[in-house]
Amino acid sequence: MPIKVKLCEDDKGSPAKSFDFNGVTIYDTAKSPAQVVSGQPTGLTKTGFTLLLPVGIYDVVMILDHVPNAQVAYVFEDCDKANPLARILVFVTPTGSFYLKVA
Amino acid sequence: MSLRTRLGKYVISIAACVLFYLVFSPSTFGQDAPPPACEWVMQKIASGAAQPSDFANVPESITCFWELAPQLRAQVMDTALRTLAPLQKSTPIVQTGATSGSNGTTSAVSKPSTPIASLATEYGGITSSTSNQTVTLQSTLAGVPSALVAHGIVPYCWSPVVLIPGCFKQKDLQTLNKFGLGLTFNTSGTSQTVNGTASPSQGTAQQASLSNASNRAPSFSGFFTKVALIQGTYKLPSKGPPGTPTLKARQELDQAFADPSTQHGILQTDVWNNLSTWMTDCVIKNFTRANLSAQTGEKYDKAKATSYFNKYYRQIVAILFDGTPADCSQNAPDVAAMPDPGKRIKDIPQTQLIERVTTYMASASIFESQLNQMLEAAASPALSFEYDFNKPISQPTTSTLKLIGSKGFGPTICNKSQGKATNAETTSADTDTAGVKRFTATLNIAGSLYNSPPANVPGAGVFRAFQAGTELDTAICNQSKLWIASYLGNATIGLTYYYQDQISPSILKITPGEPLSGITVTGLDPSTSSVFSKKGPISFVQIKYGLGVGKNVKFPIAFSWSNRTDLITHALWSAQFGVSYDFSSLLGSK
Repeated sequence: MPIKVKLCEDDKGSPAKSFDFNGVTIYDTAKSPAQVVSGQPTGLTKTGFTLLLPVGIYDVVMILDHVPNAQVAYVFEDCDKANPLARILVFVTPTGSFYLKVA
Repeated sequence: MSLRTRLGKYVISIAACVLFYLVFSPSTFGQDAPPPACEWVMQKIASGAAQPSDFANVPESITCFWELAPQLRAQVMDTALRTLAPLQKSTPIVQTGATSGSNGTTSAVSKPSTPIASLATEYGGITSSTSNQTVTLQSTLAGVPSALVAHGIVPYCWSPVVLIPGCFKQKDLQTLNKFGLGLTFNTSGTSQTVNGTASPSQGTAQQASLSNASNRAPSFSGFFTKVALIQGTYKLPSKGPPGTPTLKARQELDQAFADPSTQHGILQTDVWNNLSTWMTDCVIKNFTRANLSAQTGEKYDKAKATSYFNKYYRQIVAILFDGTPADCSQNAPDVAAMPDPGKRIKDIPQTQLIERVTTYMASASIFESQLNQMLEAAASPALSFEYDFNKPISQPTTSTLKLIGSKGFGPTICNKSQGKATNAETTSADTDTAGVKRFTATLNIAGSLYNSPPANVPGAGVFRAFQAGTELDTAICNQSKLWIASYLGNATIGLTYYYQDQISPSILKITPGEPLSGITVTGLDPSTSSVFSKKGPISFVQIKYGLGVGKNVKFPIAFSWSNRTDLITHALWSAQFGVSYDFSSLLGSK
């Protein structure tokens, strides 16, 4: 089942304005060294992407374009969900990641 | 009181202040302030914007670790920057020529922004009576520092809490970017003169020996400086700098701090176990919102946060580089001194850890500097002040003080569709061209002054002319894949109206025995040192076609009509054209 990931402006799920996805790479951590999963994610836009992955554990790594002094970006499975998949502390680093276990 | 007594009192006062600082400064109490990035993360936890797990996840708050660990040294960072810079090539950034007062320009109206670096050659005159070829070189003061950081020669501190020794700070580059400078040179033949002496006549033909009367090098025509009074808003680029190298560095960083048994982490098992305990028991349990904020609410309690930081967070350096177990008890002592370099510094995992952290920080520095270049180039000022110094050929030098305002409006166009995969390894949210507003309106209001009050010219004063101009540009876009169609179809069409009210007449300086460049005046008395023209208002209308929207090379072509020029008092048609090259992309490590 595809997972829709959204980039949000705050922890309440508002659409992102100060940040954009610059790029996203998916790594298969079952392989050593971890390998890039080709063809994923799909449908990458400035504020979202979709993942369709087989069973395994993946490192989803994201890099953001952001305006100066942008603070924290929130990555949700959908902007209306309660818990974010990741918070990206943009003020100190432009990248963020989360481990995804597909069972 | 004698001078010696006064000096003695000052010395004693200063010594007392120094002593007071040494005795009561925080470091004396063992309460070193956390590095700025660490403090910022704790403030975010206190406000609820971040979670303790973000602090425990070292890659997520890597800048804090970078600033804390003495093992991560600036020299290692310099090497990483030099290695990464060729791999992290930037995408080009857009922009462009001479001011309206120049003898060779296509622009009657000045624009408020200065390109990061550009070279333009233009032909034509707006209010001048002679046309020349000019070359204009312009740059912002941030041009060179931006190039240095984008090329990885100097590290870049992308936010106020990021500290890298010897870095250029984001705020400093933003300040320097407000100032622009330009230099214009005359390069056409009219700026050069040839003199000769004829030999005796041989029938109707006569031989002559000719030589240069002046230097054949380009002559100085003027300079201008601009300062942005109101900066435009920052807009995210439709295509940011290449992020793939930073993504790769981040994944390797994640792996460096990952569980060696399940996620192929690189750390020794005992070190990982200690790190794991530190993450869960020292950081996640203690760096809670409740512990870091004041009891009254969300406000960050600096003293409490510093105490927790010195007791628990600082242990990470000894855990990783000395093999020390974590002490997450309530009675854990403050970390007095961090190991440098540490007992395990020569072990392979620790060497790799340092390399991965440094590589990531260097990669992020280059990425952020390139992103900043794009943001600064796109955020053109809404209001600027410009000073022009003009040295027209055979005329007195003038200064122009100008206010320039500009506003884009209408829909954003020239923006290609998003979501294009670039290669098998990484998917980037790419678009090929930056969007531009359909319309841009620009307004200039200026006063022109003679730098030296003209002597012996009736009706002439220091104030030469009042000038006002407005330009409306409309952008047109073509998404054709054919290069020529794309070039011709991506252009701007500009309509300009410019008004100049001459308060003082235009003056030509005459050197007895030397001809005027490009101008012939008959019937002059041999003793005449200056010629002046009839003054009056100038109305100038121009239509300009600017080829090359979003490209490095641009070709402006313009046709214009004016009721008169500074010297000629009847209506005339003229043409101006030029070519400009924006080498910002070279400075951006393309």
